[in-house]
Amino acid sequence: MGILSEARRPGSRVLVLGAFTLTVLVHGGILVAAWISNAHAGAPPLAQMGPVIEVQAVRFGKPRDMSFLPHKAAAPKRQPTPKIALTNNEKALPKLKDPNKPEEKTQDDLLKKTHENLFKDLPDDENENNTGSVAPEGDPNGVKGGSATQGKGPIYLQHLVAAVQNAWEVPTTIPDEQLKKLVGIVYFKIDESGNVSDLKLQQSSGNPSFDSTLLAAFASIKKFDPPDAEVRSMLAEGVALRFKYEKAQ
Amino acid sequence: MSTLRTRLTLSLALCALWTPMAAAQVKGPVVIDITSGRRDLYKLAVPPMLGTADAARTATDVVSFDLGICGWFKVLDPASFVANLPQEQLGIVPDAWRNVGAEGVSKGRATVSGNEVVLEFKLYELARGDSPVLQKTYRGPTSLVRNLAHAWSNEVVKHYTGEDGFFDTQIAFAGSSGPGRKDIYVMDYDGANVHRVTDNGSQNILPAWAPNGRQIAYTSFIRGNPDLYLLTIGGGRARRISDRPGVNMGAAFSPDGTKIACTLSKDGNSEIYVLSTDGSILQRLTDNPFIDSSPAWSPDGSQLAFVSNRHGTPQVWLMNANGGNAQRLTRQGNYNQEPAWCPKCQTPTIAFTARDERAHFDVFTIDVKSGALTRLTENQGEFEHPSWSPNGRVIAVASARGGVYLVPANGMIPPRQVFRGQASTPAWGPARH
Repeated sequence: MGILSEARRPGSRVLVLGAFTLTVLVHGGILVAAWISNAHAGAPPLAQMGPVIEVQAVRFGKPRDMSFLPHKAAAPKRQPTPKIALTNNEKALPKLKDPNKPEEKTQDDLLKKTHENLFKDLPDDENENNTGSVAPEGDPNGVKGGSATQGKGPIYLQHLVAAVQNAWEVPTTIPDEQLKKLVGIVYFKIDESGNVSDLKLQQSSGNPSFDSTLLAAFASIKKFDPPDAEVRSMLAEGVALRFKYEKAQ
Repeated sequence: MSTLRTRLTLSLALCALWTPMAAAQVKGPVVIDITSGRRDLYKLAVPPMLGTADAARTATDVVSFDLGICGWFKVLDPASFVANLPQEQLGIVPDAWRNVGAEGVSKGRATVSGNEVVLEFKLYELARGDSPVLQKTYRGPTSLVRNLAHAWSNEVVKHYTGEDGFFDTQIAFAGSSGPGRKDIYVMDYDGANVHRVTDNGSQNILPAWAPNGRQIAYTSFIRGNPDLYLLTIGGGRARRISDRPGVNMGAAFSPDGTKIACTLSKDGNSEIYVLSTDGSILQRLTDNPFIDSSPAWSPDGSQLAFVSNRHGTPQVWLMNANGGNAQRLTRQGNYNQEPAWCPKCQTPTIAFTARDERAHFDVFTIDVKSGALTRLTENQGEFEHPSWSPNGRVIAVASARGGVYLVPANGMIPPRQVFRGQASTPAWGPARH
């Protein structure tokens, strides 16, 4: 029951006509103002500007014609930095994929789940109930006021992984098909000077040649960077490196 | 909001890395996955063999070359060795070999007594200590010292890879025998024992081995026309099996040895036919106004690769063994020829010669399923006419500058020359074990 019902009342017809007239006048005024603006505020003609300079983007080198034959492959590039999957649970040691068992939750799955939980109650910008408050960042169990640069553990481990990766040579005598199936685990400890101790093959791959490459990698490393107290605490129970070669794509 | 989410996600990711450290008090070792390393050749030391000088030197050279060209090993430079060889005898001091980067050591001794030679070999893997992981003793006439050494190389390859070696195989090729003359030669795969198997004062080209290794088909111009002949290795006269008008060339035995695919132009245009081993035509596989040539059987005999210019330029094509379902295989480059089907590759692979945009001839391989091209040679000489070793690990090629070279198919070892002098169209013989 709005204007129409109001219009049926005596005297209100004048009010509706007045409102309609006012609307037409306002829209007409806007159109006239836009026309005047376009007519007088356009870009200056070229003659009033400086000299025209033709610009063309230049790409260095010529793309190789795809119909040409390829060049010989260059020396293989270094492998990408490996994914570091961390766990401090000893039970996770033989956590290898078993085709008969349902898929276990991976680190990514846990991350995703935590991510969903974190955003579950987070106010949305588009939500009219948004109060403008900002949710607290970081892990609620983390150090208050801490920052990523204080996390020396991952950086130390990344250096450790890089050193092992650089030293790990898998000979071509092991065929690709066979190599994909081999997994071996090497256990060791790192003392405060960075020396490796208690080195042992914790789980054999079943292939002596592959196993020998794992220990051979440590023969050339011998020593890592000295860990600080925090890292030493983290690695107090030792490190288990699980080797599974995945051919670079 | 998106910025906020990004920051939170980053923080969460850092927390995921941080959490294990923060919870370090939980018992158990930290587990880290190592998923990549370097794929490299196995470093093998082949120190000079002990014993009678000539035989020891010959056997050492043979083993070094065999293991160095097969595509699995890097044979270390003997100049780098620090081990006390006279003191070690046939044993090893592992640290002395580790220090030079060796992962394995092949040691041996040659003892000559009259016309007999005894070769003792021991193989060590340093990761397994100072006990040999393989040892063999060979006895035979001194004239066979190379063969005995090849036998050891085959054992070493078998030990490491489970695959058969190719060190007792032969390569046939067409070589110059004087002005205007070319003959078919046969040599050990490593270039030793070169001997001529044709001697007719004419041009003899394009040898092709029968799968049993006892016959070679080739084309000869002895009667003026390029006719097809079949020669039995080790004696007997060559038998002419096709002397039809025009070309009779490019013979390729089927894997079962009962048929020969070849190019005939008896009707005026080069077409591919299948002949029986007595030369009678069993089937005509191509029939079109373009040039079809260079047939090569697939290892299972179900398909043939060949060269055709039916799309304007010479390209490698595939067709069924009955001639049906012809499909173009190579699509890059405008001059691809001389296909050779890998006999034992994991995925169907064909090697071929191609001329690149600089007019350089090089050898390529193509994955038959995916069409992916790999260039095996570049700026190392002009190579052509590839022929696979029986195990599909090495390819023999002829250099336009002269000589026969071996190119490991994994591209990890540069080409090695095994024959100097004018040579063309090498054909790698079958395994002999």
